[in-house]
Amino acid sequence: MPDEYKGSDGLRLYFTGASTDGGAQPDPNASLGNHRAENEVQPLAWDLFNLLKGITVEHVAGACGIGNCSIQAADGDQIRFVAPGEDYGETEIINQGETKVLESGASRSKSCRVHRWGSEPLAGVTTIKLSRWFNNVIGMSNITDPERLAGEEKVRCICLKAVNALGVDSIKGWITPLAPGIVSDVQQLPAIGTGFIESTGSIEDAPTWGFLRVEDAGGTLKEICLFTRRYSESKFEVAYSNHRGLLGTSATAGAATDVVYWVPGIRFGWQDPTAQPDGAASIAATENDLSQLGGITWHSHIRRSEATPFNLATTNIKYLWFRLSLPACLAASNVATWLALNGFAYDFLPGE
Amino acid sequence: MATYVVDGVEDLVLEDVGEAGIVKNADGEEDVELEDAWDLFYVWYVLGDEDFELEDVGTTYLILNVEGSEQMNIKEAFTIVGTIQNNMLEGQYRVENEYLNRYEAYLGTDAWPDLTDDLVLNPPWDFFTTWPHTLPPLSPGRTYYLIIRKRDKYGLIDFNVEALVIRIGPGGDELPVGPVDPFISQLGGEPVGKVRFRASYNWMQDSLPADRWHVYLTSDGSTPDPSNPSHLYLDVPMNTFRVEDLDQASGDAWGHGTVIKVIYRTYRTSDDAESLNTDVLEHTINLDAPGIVDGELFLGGGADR
Repeated sequence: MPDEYKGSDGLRLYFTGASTDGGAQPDPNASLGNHRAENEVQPLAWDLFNLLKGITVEHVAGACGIGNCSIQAADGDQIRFVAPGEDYGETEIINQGETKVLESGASRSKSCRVHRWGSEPLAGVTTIKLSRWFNNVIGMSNITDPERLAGEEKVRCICLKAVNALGVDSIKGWITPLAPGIVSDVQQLPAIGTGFIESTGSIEDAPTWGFLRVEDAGGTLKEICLFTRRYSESKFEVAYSNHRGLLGTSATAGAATDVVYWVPGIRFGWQDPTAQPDGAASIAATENDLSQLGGITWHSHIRRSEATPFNLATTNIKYLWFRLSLPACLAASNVATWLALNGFAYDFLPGE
Repeated sequence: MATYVVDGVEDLVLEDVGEAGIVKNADGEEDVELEDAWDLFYVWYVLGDEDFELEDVGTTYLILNVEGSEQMNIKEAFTIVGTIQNNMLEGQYRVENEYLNRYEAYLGTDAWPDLTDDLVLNPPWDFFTTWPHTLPPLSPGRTYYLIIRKRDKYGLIDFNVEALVIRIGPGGDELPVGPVDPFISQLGGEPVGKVRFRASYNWMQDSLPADRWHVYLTSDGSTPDPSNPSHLYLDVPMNTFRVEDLDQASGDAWGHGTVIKVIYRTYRTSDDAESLNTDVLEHTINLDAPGIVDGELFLGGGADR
């Protein structure tokens, strides 16, 4: 069990939108650049049951995933953690006033950070119910009906800070595909216009609306499009020609060997602060304002192998922008419903 | 601490502790297990003009060291720092669609409708935004099962706002709808050639509950016909405190080998409405082994109603 700032705690994510580095700014909808806030991004929502006296859960890593995890205490000051579906990690000692990172048994990335402020002997088990946030900093706000009809661009900005004493190396980021890819071996999109993508495979739990990323058999991006009708988990209709060639891509004729992924409708881009370790990012005046973000290169890759790594020396920061791009959905009578999930994965190597 | 890009795939982070010359190309090899199971298939590290090589062979790494035979623990020459930490950030949002802010009518013919919530594959039969609303006409001679549900602008659908059974006669007139059928029914033997009638009725499914049991019975091998008054063998009130259960022996007895067939129906006196059950139960009288049915019916103990 590492101390805080080590292991998965070596790189912390914060809201932005503060007027000075470390200022208070807890609103994810106001996380629009400028300075790093003191408020951490919490990847998962959690509910606690059967609290351990004197223990505060400060952070749960997104790698834990949704489900129930537990913190078990014994013999007064011993404590251990288990993420959903795993075995308990090592039992260690936490003394009053200490902050520790508890790692689950199978994966050190699945962790939570706790602080012991009380002096009472620790005993019992706290259950932490983890769930996804609605409208958090990456989920952004809901798309209103006028926004849906007219099309919408939204951004959010968070800040990565290396809190490990030896810095953090090899930081890589990529968009999380929402399901394994399927081969469009039955129907493919034409070069332009509307059409169908159909496969002998299927996307489990495919939504009725969603973005599809079309890659050739070699994994090279061809196009990202939006389907608004799903006839099965294998057949999707891109019903409007303006739903082709999205997120910086161009409409391209499909092929029977193409691989299609259900993906979020977001891209991301890195931005260095104006100065280390406490400089600012650009500022989006509103969540729709991209006017100051022209210098950012937007990425949509879905594999870590496609990411360009970078390092952060201790206390240094880097800003991460998310950009949602929804094309105009002009048909008011389009009856599809849409619950959308945005996901971003990253990894890094803490100096320890 | 230094970072070296290795093979374009992965980064190997090692900390040089000042003994840079101790490893170089050599012939020997020893098995050294890395403390952290990195996802490396092949790593190659160049240190000045001297090389040392790590090669993944499953979970074990081989090191070629300078002497060629000395066991080389990588931690003696370098401090391996950290473990790659994988993490992720997820969030959800919804898309509004005011067109979906409406009531939806789902209609089943002679059965309850499919309520699979899929607007493309299972659209509602009708929808509307204000009450009252006139539904499309229904064809005569059928029984329709109608469910009204409310959907919101996010496409989320509520539980039933209304559930109705509508019976249209051959002439197009709406007919009284009988109470629901018994949902558990049994027919068993009793001593001396009698039979026992057992059935349960879920009164909660009817806004106007049934109040009597009708048992249609034949003993000549024919199928009971509820439209034939002579087949109505038993017409008994439902018990005030156990309204849903029928558990009663026949008054008559039959000879060994007689085939008894029955149909249970529920009946509501107030509007002369009977359920439409057609399930036939059969029992053959056996004076040697009556085949007594025992045990509680599903809704037994209904006094807490």
